[in-house]
Amino acid sequence: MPLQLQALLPFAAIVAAALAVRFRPARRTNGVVAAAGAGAAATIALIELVRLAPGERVDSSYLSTFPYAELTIHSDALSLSFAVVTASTACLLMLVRVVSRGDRRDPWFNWLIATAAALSVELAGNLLLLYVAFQLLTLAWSGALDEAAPRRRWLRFTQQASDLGLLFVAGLTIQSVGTSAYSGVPSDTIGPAVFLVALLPALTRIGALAMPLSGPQAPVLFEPAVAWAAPAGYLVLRLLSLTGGRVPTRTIEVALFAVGLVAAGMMALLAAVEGLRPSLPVRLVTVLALTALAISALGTPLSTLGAGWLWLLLIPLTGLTCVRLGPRSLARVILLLNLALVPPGAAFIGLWLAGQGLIQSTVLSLVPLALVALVVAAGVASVIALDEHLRIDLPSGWGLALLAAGAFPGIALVYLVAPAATAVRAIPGGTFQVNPLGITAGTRFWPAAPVCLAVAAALFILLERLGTRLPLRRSSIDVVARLAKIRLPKLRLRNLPDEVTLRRAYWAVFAAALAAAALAR
Amino acid sequence: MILYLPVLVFLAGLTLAHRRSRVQRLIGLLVMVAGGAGSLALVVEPAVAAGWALGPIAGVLLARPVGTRRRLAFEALVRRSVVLVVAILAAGIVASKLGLGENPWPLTGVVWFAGAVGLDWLLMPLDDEDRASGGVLTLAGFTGVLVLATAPGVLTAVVAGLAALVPAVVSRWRGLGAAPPPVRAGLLLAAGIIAVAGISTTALFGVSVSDVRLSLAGVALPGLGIVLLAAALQGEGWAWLGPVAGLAVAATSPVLRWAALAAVAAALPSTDRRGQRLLWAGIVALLLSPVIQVLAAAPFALRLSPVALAAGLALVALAASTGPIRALVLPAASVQVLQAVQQLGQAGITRFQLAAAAGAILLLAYPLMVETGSRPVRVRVSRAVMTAGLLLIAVAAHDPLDLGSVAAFLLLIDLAVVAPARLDGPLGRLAESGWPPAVAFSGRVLAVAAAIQASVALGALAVALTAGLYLSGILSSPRRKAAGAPLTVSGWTVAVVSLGCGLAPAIFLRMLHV
Repeated sequence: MPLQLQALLPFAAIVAAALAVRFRPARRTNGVVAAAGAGAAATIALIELVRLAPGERVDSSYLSTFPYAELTIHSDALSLSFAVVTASTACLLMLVRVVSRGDRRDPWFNWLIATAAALSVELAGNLLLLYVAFQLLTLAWSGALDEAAPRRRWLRFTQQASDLGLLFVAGLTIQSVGTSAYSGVPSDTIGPAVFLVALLPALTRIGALAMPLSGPQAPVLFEPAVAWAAPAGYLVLRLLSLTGGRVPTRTIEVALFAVGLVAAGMMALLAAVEGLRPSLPVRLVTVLALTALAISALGTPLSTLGAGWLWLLLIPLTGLTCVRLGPRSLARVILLLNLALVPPGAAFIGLWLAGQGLIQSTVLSLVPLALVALVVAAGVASVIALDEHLRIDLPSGWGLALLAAGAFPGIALVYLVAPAATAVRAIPGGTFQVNPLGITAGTRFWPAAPVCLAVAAALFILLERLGTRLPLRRSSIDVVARLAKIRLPKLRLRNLPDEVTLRRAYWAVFAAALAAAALAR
Repeated sequence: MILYLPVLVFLAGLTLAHRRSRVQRLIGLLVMVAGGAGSLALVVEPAVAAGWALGPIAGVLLARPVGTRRRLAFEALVRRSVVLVVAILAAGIVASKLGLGENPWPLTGVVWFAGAVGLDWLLMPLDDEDRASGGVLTLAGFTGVLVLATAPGVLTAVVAGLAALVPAVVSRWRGLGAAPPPVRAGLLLAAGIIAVAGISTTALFGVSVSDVRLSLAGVALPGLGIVLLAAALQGEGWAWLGPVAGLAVAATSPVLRWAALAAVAAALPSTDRRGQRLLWAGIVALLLSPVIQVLAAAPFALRLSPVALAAGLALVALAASTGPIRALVLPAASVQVLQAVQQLGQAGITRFQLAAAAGAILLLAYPLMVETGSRPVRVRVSRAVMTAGLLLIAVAAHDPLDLGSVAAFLLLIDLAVVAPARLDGPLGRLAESGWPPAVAFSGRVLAVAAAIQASVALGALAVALTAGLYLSGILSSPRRKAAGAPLTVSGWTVAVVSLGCGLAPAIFLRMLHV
């Protein structure tokens, strides 16, 4: 099959499902059809990923209707890994929505279009097309054809305004090297300031993840995982791949690491202080995203592996937080375990890999990372609770699959994360090895399977024996809560000058500017 | 002595034109035109002067004074006199700085005086008669200035002089009647043929009749398509002005280009006084650019001409918050400026970019100045003005990849064709929105990309304008869904044009290579 056709197959699967649900409205099977479409797209992307040779990348060009934004699909391990995970998460969200009750709306078409838009972000072949795809994604998840639609207008505007940074960078690359295609941009094209500007879309979407929701209003929310988490992680890693796998300067590297960890620490404190609220998983997901951002800045092979693991894990975890779960459901417990940044949570693998990279420079640099993990763990431990009657449902199965990935990280690491990380920067052979019991990085071995299984078993036994809640003292957390209550002073704008004065100033400035232009040498 | 005769004749005519008797006023106007013709006859050529005078004479006769003028109150009389004297003095100063060879400035200044007097009457009219006569004199005077500067052939002078008829016709028949559907369909068909021809062939289009030459090379081709399309899709009497706006784009002579542009501006309804003043300030600035290039000393011309171009377009853009100006005058003026910018040297382009950046910043600040109308009106106006600012930057970019020209055309389609349409339904809302693949989105993206080619600062300004446009989009009130209202033929045309040009803006690159 020609490569150009193969690259279109994931989109074809989703579009076929979208057409099917569009022309068969209000059918009970539409949810299954939609999930099948997303699942097929994920499977196709996975097959393409497996068939890709190490380091191989394929650009499939179709049309040149837009100057310097030719319709090109860029298939490399990074884009395909994200496509697999995004489409899989979309499929699972759709399945959860099918089995849930209490919502009679028919969201399938919009969700499929949003998935297709997210895949277009991940498979776009140049920076200008990436910007266009981001706009399509915002349109798809918001559904706001009328730009003045009141629902989430400020969030839409924030994302659109931040995406302009990406457009700016695309323009700069076109100016300097005549193209914005990933394959054509040398690694020294993007400077430090430009790098920060290009990061803005990712930062706003991470910020969107932190929006205080009082729990999902609908049984399932689609956009945080597919429209915010996935593009944010992809953009960070793609930018790093364009700059040779490292942040352009050491200063930016240190600043990004520090700011990311400080923000993660503050969010973790907030989560710990607030305790068991519906917004707790949202806070923890944001902590995970900020930690991933901090680790991405480090630029070593192991930290790139760790960042790749965290960004890819962020997508399904965000999806799981967007499912309405009971306060004592098994799925909520598993979700909190996964977000806890300590074993048996799957996120710990990413931290461990990044930590191995940090140890090689200095042990002290592990301290902030460890602090964040400890605060999160303490917060989770203080609220974790289990119903007397265990019920295995689709979300808990989803969570268990993620726990299993943390206990047996070899498959995901070898087939998903390592290829994606290799697309960002070269990962020398021997950087890590995997075996059924765990992973080895350098000279250190992490026995993931035994540790995760042991901790999980111990936790469950404790929860059952101690009446479903750990007896954690909260006095220390209360002290932190009092310290955390800081009021910012209100800023007040002074009255603006009156209209006549403004207008006179306006024309005076214009005349002065024209005179300056005329007199300039 | 004979060299000062035209100015004496003009001043005599000006005095007569302020009399209360209508016969005296008519004679006064004709004498003023005669003074201008005399000036041209002595400086350029009698045949050219005679050809130029035909149009203004016909215009004065068509807009002939009716009835006895009422006596003015003292304050009104003093105000009118002071403004008139200031206008004439200003014209005199300009004429003295932009003299032609060894000719004394009072000789060459007659046409400047005519233009200044006409502008005064046009912008501060006492009644409809004043407005009509002012329009005739404005066009006559300033086309006379261009005739003086460029010394065109007789036919060019005749056609340029005929532009002075337009305000008289509009005044006499109380505005232009609605164009019948066949006329609008014809304009639409012409626009379609131009688009197809531009995409499919690389042959140069041009036609010459005596000394009048029309050319559709370069930016003129897509520009003509846009003005014809805008004229066809807008309602009321504007369709008749489509060919006139087309002349402003396609003519190679600066006299004809400016005359046609000014004729369109003079024919449009004058409901907004501030908008009218801004519009005419911009049009006069656009006039000054070619005049300065020819008549001023070289260092002076190199500095002022590009700045006048940028200032003129900025002022027209500022005035283009109302529909008719935005649909016809702005596209024609933008294409003219694009053509002029291509003739500038590197120093001129840099100066133009500086002035255009200043204009764009002022356009960005304009929403703070808009004080009238409800919030939706203010937001709509702000959006139009900021898009115009982005247009200014796209024109100024002058990048080697031609992205600026493409962006300018896309933004012109959005301003002149799509935004006034107020479409409904999902397709209509998408076509009017700033989302891909609407033409507005493509125009903004390419404008930013083109601005960055010129300089990072210009690119940052373009980004700020685009962010402002997104903000104005969310601040406007949500539109109520019209219950099941289908798109009309015009609506479908607008939607197809918007989405087609937004999806495939590279077609303009192909048209520009003609």
